[in-house]
Parts: sequence; structure tokens; C-alpha cells
Amino acid sequence: MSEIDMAVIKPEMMKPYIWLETSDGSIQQVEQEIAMYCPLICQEIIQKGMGSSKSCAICLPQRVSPVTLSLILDYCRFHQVPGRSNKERKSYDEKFIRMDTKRLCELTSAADSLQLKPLVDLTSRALARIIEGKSPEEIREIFHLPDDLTEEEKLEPLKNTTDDPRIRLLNRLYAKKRKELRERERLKNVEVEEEHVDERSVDDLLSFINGNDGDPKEVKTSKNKKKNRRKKEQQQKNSSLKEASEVNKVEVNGQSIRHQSAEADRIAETSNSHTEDVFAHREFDDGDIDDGIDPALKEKIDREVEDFARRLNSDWPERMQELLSSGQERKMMLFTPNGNSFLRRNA
Amino acid sequence: MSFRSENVNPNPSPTPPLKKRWSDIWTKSKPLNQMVMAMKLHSLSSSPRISTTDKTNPILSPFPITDRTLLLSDALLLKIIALVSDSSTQRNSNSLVCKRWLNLQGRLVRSLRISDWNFLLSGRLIHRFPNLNHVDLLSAALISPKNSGILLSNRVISMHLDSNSSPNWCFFEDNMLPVEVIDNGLTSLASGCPNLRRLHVIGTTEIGLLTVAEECSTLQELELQRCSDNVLRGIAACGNLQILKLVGHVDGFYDSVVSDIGLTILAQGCKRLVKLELSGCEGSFDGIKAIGKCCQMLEELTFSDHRMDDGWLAAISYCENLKTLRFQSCKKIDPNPGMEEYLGCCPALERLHLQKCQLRDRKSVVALFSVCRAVREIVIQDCWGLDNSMFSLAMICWRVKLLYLEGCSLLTTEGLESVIHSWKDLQSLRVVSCKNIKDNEISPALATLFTTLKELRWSPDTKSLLPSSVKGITMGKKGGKFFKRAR
Repeated sequence: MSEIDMAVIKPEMMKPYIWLETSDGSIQQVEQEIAMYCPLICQEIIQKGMGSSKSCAICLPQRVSPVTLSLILDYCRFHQVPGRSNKERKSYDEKFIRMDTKRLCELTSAADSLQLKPLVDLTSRALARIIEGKSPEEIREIFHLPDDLTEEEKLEPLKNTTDDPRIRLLNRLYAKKRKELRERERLKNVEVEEEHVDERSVDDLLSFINGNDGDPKEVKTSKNKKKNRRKKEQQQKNSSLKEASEVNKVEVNGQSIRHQSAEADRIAETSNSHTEDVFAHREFDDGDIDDGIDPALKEKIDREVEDFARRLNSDWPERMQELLSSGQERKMMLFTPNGNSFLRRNA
Repeated sequence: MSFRSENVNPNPSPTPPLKKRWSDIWTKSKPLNQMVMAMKLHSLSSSPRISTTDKTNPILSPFPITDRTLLLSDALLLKIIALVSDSSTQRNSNSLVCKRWLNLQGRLVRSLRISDWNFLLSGRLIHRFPNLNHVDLLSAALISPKNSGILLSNRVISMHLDSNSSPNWCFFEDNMLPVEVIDNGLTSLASGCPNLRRLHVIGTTEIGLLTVAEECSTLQELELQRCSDNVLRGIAACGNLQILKLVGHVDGFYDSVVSDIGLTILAQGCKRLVKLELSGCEGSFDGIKAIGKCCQMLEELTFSDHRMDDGWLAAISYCENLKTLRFQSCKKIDPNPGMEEYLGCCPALERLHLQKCQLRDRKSVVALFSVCRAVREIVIQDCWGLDNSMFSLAMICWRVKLLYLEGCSLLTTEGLESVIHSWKDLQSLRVVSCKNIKDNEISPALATLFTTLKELRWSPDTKSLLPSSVKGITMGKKGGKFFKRAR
């Protein structure tokens, strides 16, 4: 027993030791001069007097694991020895940082928590060298990073706007969103106005129907051809009403731009057909002249026909514009929450 | 206390004797019986360690799956990303990795030139680049088709044109954003970038300028294009402004007027100005006098294509601390400077730079050199009309130490020699691309003067460097022979 005691005392007398406790609870004994190389440990020893015995070991930060601590102590053990040349230190550093990326990140984090700046600089440069020249996919793979960027963020301009129209469209959409958020109340008023406009258009249609009621009284004395004219006109009005209802249904459904263009084509076709009918009427008028009916009555009828045609022609473009504008506004409102899907469809 | 001591006591007691006995056993090679006993004790004591390792296992297991950079703090990752942000392609790659890297990369950006105004109005600019301190909005305020191959460029501004642009010269007005939109953008920028130091903007009003001045108290450098007197009403709020560039009129683009009123407002509002550039600005003696009296720290004053009234040059003497006076692209200096005794002088002036100016008017040149007679450095580049008689007027600047001539095609060796002989303190001489100054015309006195200079750069006439073998060619004679043969 006495021999054992003598053997125990001798190693302690040779070098002073420091007790360090890592996050997993294991306690380790380290040479004091090596441990003092870490600023954090140095502070704990000098200011708080910790680490002198196993019972009051220095508790290291959470990020320092036993494996990492051994690496850090190897680094300190090499660099705290005086007299080594810069070339020796550089070659040691080069060998030291040859490890996988995961361990390199752990080492960087641990060195940062221990405030060991030379090692932080060394490992930071090593990580920067890994990143340099790599594409985003490669960097993501190396560091197991999540691909959580949205399509909008990927398209966003980095330094200057490019000629990519998608980016310009994206910025325009963002700007419109902000405007809409500011002007919510105004949008409500605009909706009310739209409804009012729709009502007026219905009234206009009704006024046209009432305006034509006067014709049959005057035309009773005329021949069969005039009766045929009335029937054709009524058919045209009914068809226009049906088309309007169809357009409204399509708008309510809220389709994409293709449907919008299709509607425009339909409206154009209807306008063309209407103009053709007008020409047909004029031909009939010429036929009447040949028949030699009363000239005064002819003049009255011609004026009425011309007035009617003029009113239709003047009112028709306005109604088309109203339909188109209302459709566009509604669709834009629908698009704004679905900006993502809209962009994805285009892309 | 007693509880803690009880906990602490059992921990250290078993471990040291075990380790020590074990080492002793090995070193002294005691009998097998004692070794077997020691092994049993070791196995018994090691069981709690196994349990501790089991506890730590679930903590360690998720590490391989998760993000490896989670261990790194934002500051540390930012430092690493900063190390590799040298090239724009690398910055693009870093930005497209993930959300965290996108935000960190954006924090590194300090200077940005914006080409799309919606990017500013949408708020994405500030969200993406929160640490901007230098913003250039000149391109963003112009509505120009990016796909057009037609570029209309001026010294101050450039823009793309559409081939369907109207033939009249008002297209700039048509192709610029409305004033309200620009002011709204400035409001967004000011509220998002409180640390702004440099700003380039065009077509704003005093309201937009006031907003920037109130929100960005650290603004030091400002360029105002399409600036007028009304816009300058808001500049008094920029208390820390040191460098200012005002652009009033640009031929073919826009026509705004900065007059004495604006210059006086500027002088009274920005007393800390160090550097001022007036481009396409009007004004007169009173405006420059106000600036000279109020901005006592003004060291550098630049006039570009100025439209000053006659007699303005005499006000330069009120700039007591002026060190650099620069004229760029000025068609005239001061056609009617007034009597010479009223011109005054800038005692602190050190540098006079004339670039791309027309120096044909003798009165102007006399007045200019008279005001700058204390100058030590004269730089004349690509100026028209500087012949020997005009350059001889520079003799009045008797303290010149450095002379730099470039592109002065009318000046001859004799004219140069007569002036620099009168400058006893001359130390540095650079003569570049002055095709009328010949090497063979250098007099022995001039050659002697060259030996006393500290710096000499002499490359006036590149034709003189032709090899001598080429000089003997006589084209006329051969031509004559050719004609004779034809006959």
C-alpha cells in the first residue's frame, strides 16, 4: 500500500492537470498548459478557479463532444509548443482539416464556442474552400440542406434585373398585391359600380325592345315582307341575350387566359354577324324601291332602320368593353391569391 | 449542503483506485488471482457507464439526418459565406441553396443598382437586402424596353429605346415614371434602409427628398438628376450631406433649371459639403458666392456643361478652402468675367482640371488662370482651342509643380517650352497625345530642363516613333511614274 501511494503521488507532481467535463457528462483530465490555450477555459481557470479538481471540473459548452474535444486538444497540443516554424504549423493545419464535412462543421462550432479564433479561422476557410465553385444542388447535397426556396424566390433578381420576363412579371405581381392590400375598401366600391353598370345594360336592352313596339302599328298597312323583318329582329335580340348569359357563366367559373381569348373571339364573331344582317336589310330596301310603294312611308321606314342600326353600332363596342373589363378585373382578383399556380403554369 | 456532499463523495472514490491498481498490476505482473479479482471489480463498476452511453444514443442518432450547418451560428455561417462571395456566379449559387443562405447572402450586399421599380415598391428589395447602404435608382425610374437593341447614352444617363418611340424629343418625359410613383418608392426605400449612405435618384420631388432625409440620417452622398429649385427645398434636411451632384439640364433628355435660388437654398441647408458637382446648372455670381460663404468646408468643386450667367467666375474666390476646381465638357467658362481687379483669388487652391472644354475665348482663359494663380497642379485633357497664345496665359500660375497635358493638338513644342521655363518649381511633366509637339523641335534648354524634373512622361507624337527606314519613301515620285505609264 505504501508503494502504491508513492507511485500515485509522483505523476501528479510532474505536471499540473485540469479537469474538463463534456456535455455527455464524461470527465477528462488534461494538461493545464494545453487547456489554457483555449480562451474560454483560460477564463474559467483564472477568474473562477475552476478545474483544479474532479469535483469542480470545468463544464464545457453543449456543442463540444468528447471526440471534438480530443481533436481540439490535439490542435492545441501542437500549436502551444514554442519554437515551431510557420511552415511546420501550416503543414500540420493542412493535415488536421482533412476530415469529412460533418465533423468539420462540428469542429467549427465547438471551436467557436470555446472562442478558439485561430481554429475557427482555419475551419472556416476549409468550409469556404468546400463551397467554392459548387452549384446550389451540390452545396445542398454536401451539407444536407433543405430545398425550401419557393419558385418566386428562385426567380427573384440577385444583383440586377435580367431580361427574363418572368422576373419582371413577378415583381409586378408583388407590387399589385401591396396596392390591393392598401386599397381593399376601394375594391368594394368598384364591385358595387360594376353591378350598377350591369343593371344599366339590361335597361338598355329593354329600352330597345320597347322602342320597337311602335313599329307594328305603322307597319300594319304594309306587305308580308315587313312582317318577316320583325321576326328576324326579335330572333337577333334573343340570341344576343343568350350570349350575354353564357359570357356571365364563363366569368363566374373563372377560367384561364385561353378562355378569355375565346370569349373575345366569340364577341367578335357576333359583331360580324350583326353587321352582315344590316347589309341584308339594305338589300331588302332596294327591292322595295323597285316595287314602287309609297315614297313617304319608305322614307320613314328607312330613317327608323338607320337610327336603329346607328344605335346598335354605337352601343355595341361600349358593351363589349364593359364585358371585357369586368371579366379581366374578376380574373385578376382570382389570380392574385393563386399567383404561384399561375407562374407554374406559365413555366 | 450535506446532500450535495453526499452526491459528490461516491463519484471520485471508486475510479482512481481501479485505474491505479490496474496499471500497477500490469507493470508489476502480479499473480493471476489478483488479476481476476481486479477484472471482476472493473466489470461491476463499468455497468453505469454503459447506461449513460445508452442515454446519449438517441441524442446522437438524429445528427446524420439533419442539416449539418445547424451547428453553425448565423454569424459563423455568414463569415464562411463571406469568404466565397468574390464572384457574382458564386453569390448566385449561394443565394439559391436554401432560405437561410439566401437571407445571409442578402445581408452581405451593401451596394445595389436597381433596374425594376416594382422590385422596390413590392417591398422585396428591403426584405432581401436589409443591409444596403448604397442604392442607385437611375435605371429603375426609366420605362424602357429591356429587349431593345437601341441604346441612347449621354455622359450622365443612358436608356434603351423602342423603335416605335415618337420622333419628337419629349420621349424622355413619356418614358419616365410619374413623380408620385418615384416618391412612393423613395418612401419605401427610406423606411427600409435607415443606414443609407449613398443614393442616386432621378425625377423626385422635395417630398421624396424630405422623406429620405428624415429616415436616413447617415446619408452622406447624393446624386439628384432632373433637379430643380423646387426639389432643392427638401435638401436642407440632409444635415450630414458631404458629397452632392446636381444634374439640371441634359441635352436631348430633360430640361430642369437650377438657378441662384436653388444654389442659395443648397448653401444654407448643407453647410458640411466637401464635394459639389454642378452639371447643366444655371446660376450666377450670387449663387456661387452663397455656396462659398456658407459651405466653408468645400474642397472640391466641379462644373459640367454649366449654364452660368456672365460674371460668375469672380465668386470662386469666396470658396476659401477650395482645393480642387474642375471643369468638364464646358462650352464656355465665363464670356464676360468683368474687370481683373475684381476677380479675386483662391489662396488654398491646389488643383485645376480642365477636361473636354472649349478654351477659345481669351477673356475666359485670362480670368480663369487669374483666379487660379496660386494653383500647383494643372491638368488639361482633350480641350479644344488651346493654342500657344492661350497656353501662354498660364504663366501667371507661377507656383505650378505638376503639368499634365493630353490631347492638346494645337500646342507646339515652342509654346510649351516658353511656359514651363517660367515655372521654377516644376517637378512633374506629362505630355501625352499632343501631335503638334515634336521630338526634333526640343531645344537644348528644354532638354536641360528635363534633367531637373522628378517625373517625366513624354509621348506627345506617336508619328515621331516611326523607324527611320520608312522616312526615305517618296510617294510623289512613284505616283508620277504611275501617271506617266498610264499616258
